[in-house]
Amino acid sequence: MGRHEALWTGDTGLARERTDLSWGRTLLSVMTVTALFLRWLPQFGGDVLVPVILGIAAGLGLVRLRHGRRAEVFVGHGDAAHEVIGLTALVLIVGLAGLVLIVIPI
Amino acid sequence: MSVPPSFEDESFEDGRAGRFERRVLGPGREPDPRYSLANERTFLAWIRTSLTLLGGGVAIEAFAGDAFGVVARRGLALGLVCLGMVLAAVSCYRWVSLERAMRQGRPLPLNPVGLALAAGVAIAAAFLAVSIAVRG
Repeated sequence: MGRHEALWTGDTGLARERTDLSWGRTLLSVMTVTALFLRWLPQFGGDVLVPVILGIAAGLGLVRLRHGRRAEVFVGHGDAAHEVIGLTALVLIVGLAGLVLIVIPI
Repeated sequence: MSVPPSFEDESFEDGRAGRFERRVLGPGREPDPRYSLANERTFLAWIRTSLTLLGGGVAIEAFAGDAFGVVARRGLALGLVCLGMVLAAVSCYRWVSLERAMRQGRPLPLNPVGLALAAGVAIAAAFLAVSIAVRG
């Protein structure tokens, strides 16, 4: 048994499960926040759909990225640089869209 | 402050082979993946906090209506969204610095973000209370 496999021997798998759940909760939060933008649909029209669609698409993209990384975690590579930076960029874009929609009426 | 263990197995050195990871995470040995997963969950908890602030800011502007003045409403909404964006950027920076510290076997850095978050939320709450009091 290699060192990588030995690491997970006797492990309950709960840490990985908590991490998966954590990602799920976070992506649901992203989608919920972007869905709030729909309130401005009557005021700004279809432009509001851009951050909503972006949030949902990026959320699904991150789920796919996470799925691909599961196997890497099993062989000892724990870092999630792509996912972390991608999620941060997504949150910043959603925030920027929020700022624009708040400032436009001024 | 505890230093998380690193593997001595040479195959863990440098972790994933990708250039992007090497550039972001720097040199060192791949830490125990369970510590990396814990770091990841901590980052996600901070990001959810920042999303809550973003959502709060957007909701105040979108749903508060005439509950309080336009200037107070927009000011509060902009403040919360900006605080959320800063928190998201800082949480990413913190994830990288913790991951680097673990890879290099250094003590984990302190986290001053909690204090800034508490101060920001306290200021926002005080601003909201004053706005309601003035209007009411």
